[in-house]
Order: sequence, then structure tokens, then C-alpha cells
Amino acid sequence: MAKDLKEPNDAKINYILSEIKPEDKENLKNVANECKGIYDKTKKTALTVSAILFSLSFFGLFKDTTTFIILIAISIFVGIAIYGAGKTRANSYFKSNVPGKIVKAVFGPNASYRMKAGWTYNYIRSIKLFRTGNIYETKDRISGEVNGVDFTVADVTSGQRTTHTDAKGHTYTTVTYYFQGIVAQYEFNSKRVKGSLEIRENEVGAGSSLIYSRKDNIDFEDIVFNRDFNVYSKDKLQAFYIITPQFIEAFKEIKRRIPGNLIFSIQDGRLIIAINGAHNNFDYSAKAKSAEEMLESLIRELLPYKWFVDILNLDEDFGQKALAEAKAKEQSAKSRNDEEEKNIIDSIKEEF
Amino acid sequence: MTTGGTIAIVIVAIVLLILISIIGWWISTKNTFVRYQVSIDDAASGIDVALTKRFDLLNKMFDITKGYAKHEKETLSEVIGMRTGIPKGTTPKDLSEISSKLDQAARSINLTVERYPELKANTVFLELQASSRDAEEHLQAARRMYNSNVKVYNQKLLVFPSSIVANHYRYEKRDFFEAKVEERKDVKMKF
Repeated sequence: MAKDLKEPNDAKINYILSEIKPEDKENLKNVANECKGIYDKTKKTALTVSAILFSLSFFGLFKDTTTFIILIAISIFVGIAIYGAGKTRANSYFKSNVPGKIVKAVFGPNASYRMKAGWTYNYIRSIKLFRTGNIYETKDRISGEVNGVDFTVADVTSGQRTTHTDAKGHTYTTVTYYFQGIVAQYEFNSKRVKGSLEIRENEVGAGSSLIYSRKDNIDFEDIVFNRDFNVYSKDKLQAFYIITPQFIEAFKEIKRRIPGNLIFSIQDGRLIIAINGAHNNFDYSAKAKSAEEMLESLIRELLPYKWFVDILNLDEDFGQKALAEAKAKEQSAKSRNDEEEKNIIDSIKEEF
Repeated sequence: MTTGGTIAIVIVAIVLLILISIIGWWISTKNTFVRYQVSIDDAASGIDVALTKRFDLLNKMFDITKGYAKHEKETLSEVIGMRTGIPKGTTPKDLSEISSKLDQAARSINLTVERYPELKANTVFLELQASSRDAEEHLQAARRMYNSNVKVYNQKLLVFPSSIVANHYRYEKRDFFEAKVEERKDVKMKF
């Protein structure tokens, strides 16, 4: 989704590729090459069948022009159908074999990718970031962990299909899409962030808030940030606590680098990021010059989810790790003392 | 009714409309000023609360460090200074001064921790340290919110035509809560 992240990520991509076991890398390349094989074969078959049908359609000229046109149309249609079916097969084969492994390489062995899974309709309704209607599709669900921060992301399409009948009895169907993009959720350190807050890019595509009204809009000290984003919260002090000057800078950077309309929401210690107009692109790309290039492009798709954790400091533990370690040490020292005490008591008991 | 009469009624109606608009605008502008004054006072009390909390936490941290650094007791006591908490009705300038002293105290405590690594394993101290950092971030938030309200309020005081209402009620500019340069350098804010 984020082509602009290319340059700073080249080193990371090379590192991730080097971390993949040589035999796994070889397997991935084989799959990519097999897909290319399926794709090329399909393209050739489609062209051949079309050409044959196209040639045969000239016989139609002996009958009449209409027959000729119909036969031409059929030859084109059959060609496209064969090409489409082959492309779908190559894509399906690619998606069920490659992205899952790349996801694990980027986010660790516990990460997962499910091509046909996504967010539930009820979840999307509950977060109230955009409208929902009778069209709902979701796919490409990735779950993983970045520096101890759990996250899940999936593609979501939400819209409304409406059928109208005019005075003459003609029926029309109109489709309105409310959202076509990515929804990501991060479970960051929620201990200190209470309440809720919404940040919307000040652009048409980001839509207006479904929870807050204009009177909940809060201005900050940064003119550019105020121009580019609307921040809504019922608790102004909490909003200033969450939106630190560093956070403001991070948002300006995110807007610069990530395409699509951004909506950020903090709800019960979760950070939800919705990007309207962006999509995970895990499809097989026939344009890629090599299997290596295809793998690189997949890694590039995934890196922004890591980058969000870094730039927004979502992995900040507020000294909790040091505290937990100290507590564990204290506990183990206490257990040792208890054990020693017990041994002494036991030995005294034995003596008597 | 004569034409003259109609014109008179129209003129009176226009004058009334203008008067009502002016009165409406006057009341709304005055209310805006009052709302901002309330917001500024709220934010100031937020600063008070955050400073008091930080003061209490630093005092507790100071009590723990005393056990480790007896010879530094006097230095730290001097820095903390106020033993009774933050006096009521303190001006933003004084609050800024208190905040600066608290930062100085926090820095002294951190230096003590560096000298006595045992403190880093003291769970009570670590908890207090985390809370103190949180209190500092709340203080930053309250300070920024206060300054943001003061900025808008002061702008309205000076900008025509709202300045007419401000001058009539003798509203005065509010002071910003200034953070000293070295404080800004030291305080690391993270989300």
C-alpha cells in the first residue's frame, strides 16, 4: 500500500530476505515461478483459442454481418474468460502459498495470514469509523506482533446497494461505497490511555465522524496538524495527554508517506487505523520481473504495519518491563528465603 | 396606510433588526470570553492537580533515596523546598517556577539512582518512578491545553470587533505557562 516507503525500507527488505531460510526462499521462488508458468500458459491458451475462434468467425461473413460480429464477440469473450480463469488460478495458488510465509518472515513465527478471513461485520459496526450497509466484504487478514504489540489487519469494503423504481416502473440499482480500504488494530499499552479519541484526515474521503460532533473538535498548537487533521474527544485534557508534540510530528509524517484517507481511533486501549483507498496487494503480479522482486514487493506491503509501531511509539512500556523484572527478582529472592527458612525449621524439627 | 408610514415602519424594523443583531452578537461574544475564562481556569486547575501529584510522588521517591544517599539529603531537601504542597491561588508564573523546581528535584533523584544501582531493583521506587513520569506527562498535557486556551483567548481580546466587548468588561490578557528551555530538553514525551 505504501510505495513512498520504498527507499528507507530497502535495507530492512534485504535483511528480511536474508533471514528467510535458503530452502524456504527457494520454495517461495519456485511457487512464484510456477504461478508465472500457469499465467503464461493461460495467456498463450487464451490467445490461441481466441485466434482460432476469430479466424472461424470469418466464415460468418458468408452468412451475414450480424453473425460475423457475434462470432467475433464470442471469440473475444472466450479468450478473456480463459485468461481470467487462469489468472485467478495462478493468483489463488500464489496467495495460498506465498504471503503466509512472508508474513511469518516479517512478523515472526506466530504471525498468520488468512486469505479469505477478515474483520467480522459486527466488529466493523462497533468501531463506528465509517458507515456500514448491505454490502460488506473482507479479506487478507494478517495477525502478528511487532515489538510486543499485537496487531491485526484486513481489507474491508463497506457500502450500500439500493434499488429504486421510477414512475415508469423502471428499476435502477445504485451502489454507494462508504469505505474501501484497510482496517488495522493495535493492542498497545492501554494501562495509561483511558477514554476515546478520534483523528480524521481533513479530506473528503475520510468522511465525518459517526460518534463526535463539531463541538468536540480540538485544536492543537501545530497549525499544519490542525489544517490536515480533525481531532475529536469529549475529554480535552486526555486528548492533549495522548497527542503529544512527538505524536503530532508522527502524524504529519504518516500523512506524507501513506496514501489514502487516514482515520485513527483510540478505543479502550486499542488503536484502530482505517485507511480509505489503500489495499493490501498480495496478488500475484505478472508485471514483476523476477520471483525475488515479487517477494520484495510483498515485504514492502507489510512493512508499514511495523512502521506504525515505531513512529507512534506503541511499544513504549512506561517502565513496566523493568518493574516486572524487579518484581520477579524480588519474588524469587522471597521464595529462596522461604525455602531456606523451611529447611531450617525442618532440620530443627528433626533434631527434636 | 401612507407611503411615508410604510417607509417609517421599514426603517424602524431595520433599526430594530440591527439592534437585535448587535445585542445578540454582544451576548454571544461575552459568553465566548466567559467560556474561555472557565476553560483557562479548568486547565490551570489541571496544572495544579498534576503538579501536586508530581510533588507528592517526588517526595515519596525522595524519602526512598534518603536511605541510599544520606549525605545528599540536604541537597535534595533544598531542591524540593516546599514541604506543604502547592499553595492555593498560585499564579502561572509561580506554577512555572514550582514546576521547574520539581524537574530539578527529579533530575537530582535520577542522578542518585545512577549512583546507587540497588534503587533500580527497588520495586516501590520503580513504581513511583513510572507514576512520576506519568504525572509529568499529565502536567505537560495540562500545560499545553492551558496555553492553547490562553492563546485563543488573548487573540480574541486583541482582535476587532471582539476587542470592544473585552475592553468594555476590562478583560485582561492571561499569562502563558512558560516551560524553561532546559526543561523542554529534558522531558521526553512518548505515546
